[in-house]
Amino acid sequence: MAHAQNTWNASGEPHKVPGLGWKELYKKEDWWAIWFGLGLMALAVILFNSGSHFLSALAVNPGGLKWSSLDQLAAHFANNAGMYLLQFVFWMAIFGVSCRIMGIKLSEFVPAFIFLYVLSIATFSVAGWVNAAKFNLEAPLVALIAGLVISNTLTLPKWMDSAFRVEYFIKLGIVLLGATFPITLVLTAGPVAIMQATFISLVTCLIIYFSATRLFGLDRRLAAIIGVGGSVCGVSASMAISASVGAKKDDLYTSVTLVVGWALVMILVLPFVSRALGLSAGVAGAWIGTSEFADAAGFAAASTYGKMAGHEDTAIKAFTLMKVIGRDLWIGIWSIVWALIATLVWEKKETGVTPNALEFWRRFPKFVIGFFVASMLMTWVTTGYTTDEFNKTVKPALIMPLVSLRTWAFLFCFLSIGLTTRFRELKPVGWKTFSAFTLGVAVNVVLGYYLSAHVFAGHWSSL
Amino acid sequence: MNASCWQCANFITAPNELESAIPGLNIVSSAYGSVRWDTGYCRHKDVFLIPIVACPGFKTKPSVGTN
Repeated sequence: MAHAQNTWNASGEPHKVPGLGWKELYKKEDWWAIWFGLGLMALAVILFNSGSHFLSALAVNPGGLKWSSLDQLAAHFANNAGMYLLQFVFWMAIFGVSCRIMGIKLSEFVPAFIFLYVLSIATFSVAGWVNAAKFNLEAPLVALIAGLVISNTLTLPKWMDSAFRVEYFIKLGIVLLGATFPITLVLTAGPVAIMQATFISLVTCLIIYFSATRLFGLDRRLAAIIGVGGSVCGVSASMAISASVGAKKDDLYTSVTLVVGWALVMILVLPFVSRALGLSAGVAGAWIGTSEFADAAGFAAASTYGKMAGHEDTAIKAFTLMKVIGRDLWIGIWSIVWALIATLVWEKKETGVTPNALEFWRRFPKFVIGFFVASMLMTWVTTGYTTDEFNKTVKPALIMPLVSLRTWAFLFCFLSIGLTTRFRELKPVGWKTFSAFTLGVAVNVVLGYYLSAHVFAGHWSSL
Repeated sequence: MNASCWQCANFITAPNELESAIPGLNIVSSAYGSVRWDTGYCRHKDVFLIPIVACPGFKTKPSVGTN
């Protein structure tokens, strides 16, 4: 069994090993999401104040066209050809430069991103069909399914994953989301979200952990890894605590299969079940926030249902409160707690790693800082406008271009989920591990529904 | 300077190598994210850890340097 790591040298003296340090500011995608997200926001404010509509034009996409003939669609592209080219160069530049700096080869990124961009245009075009809603051809679903079909029927070379940066795209989207998310909403609705999310996460994690160890006799490190995977933040949470508990490679690999499998099921099932139950967008968004494991998958589900219900913004806001603020923020705490358990409870004789309060910051999902800063800045910038002025001037010229850019980032993400999901590569999981995880999923979904749709229904419905 | 995991050939911490080592990691997560911090995978011990002082299994990496 792997032991908790040791930072003591042979003489029993602590030995510090320098880490990434300040390099994190340009080596991690979270920070790039912050730099570009806030940069785009600043650009939007500058252009708004100068009366320019450039950013709105740059964020063009055929998703809202409601075209009824191919001639109409073709005309749209013909009339906006120059802007689409500029947009492509814009996205290629910001993602290309940042990915290169993070260590991704441009020779792989560039052709793969061209493929992704063309596929995005096609996806938006499908979603922009006048009858798209009738056939549930919402952009997130179309993107996911198209990606899954392509990656599992064709043999896309693995190097193309260089441009299918699921997490990077969703993090940029979340920072841009902050610009349209009043900080007052975070302050008023955040506490309920944190309370509800924490309660559900604790219950789910304990159920997975104890059923895995006591009921099925599984290794406690594996149990911990899949426990946080199913209750906090999917594979990211599993990775965050992997060093704290001394996880093996197979433990994380198992978490990948379980999280990806159930996340895909949730994306496809939750929106339709929410519709069948007649849930409001806010309630459904909150329920999805507690039921989905990863931000990317959850935004896909929330966005899909939001479009179905005609209140995408509300569904996304509720999801963000529950998942990003209620769960993501606290990954560091889980890492500290599991480090404490691993060193003080599991192996009391070990001198292992001393759980460190710094771990909270080290494991903190930094992109959330961008979300909060964007929210505070935009709230400040738009203070002083009357509701009428806001709706007539600020919203169309300042807010909506950022929403459109966010929509692009989200679509890149949803397509990338599908394009990177190669079922043949996922590790087969034993029935005991599957059962323990699924037990947690079941409790998670039911408890999340009860709290969102009943106990706190009034709160979520009023968003 | 004492050798550490950073200089060891058994220690995988480069994001692209980690994502290759664990297929599917990049589907709904990422090795380029900040929650990973400096966590890497040790092939020698088959364990995830943050870089520590070199252990008896240390093997010098061909091009030494941090990620």
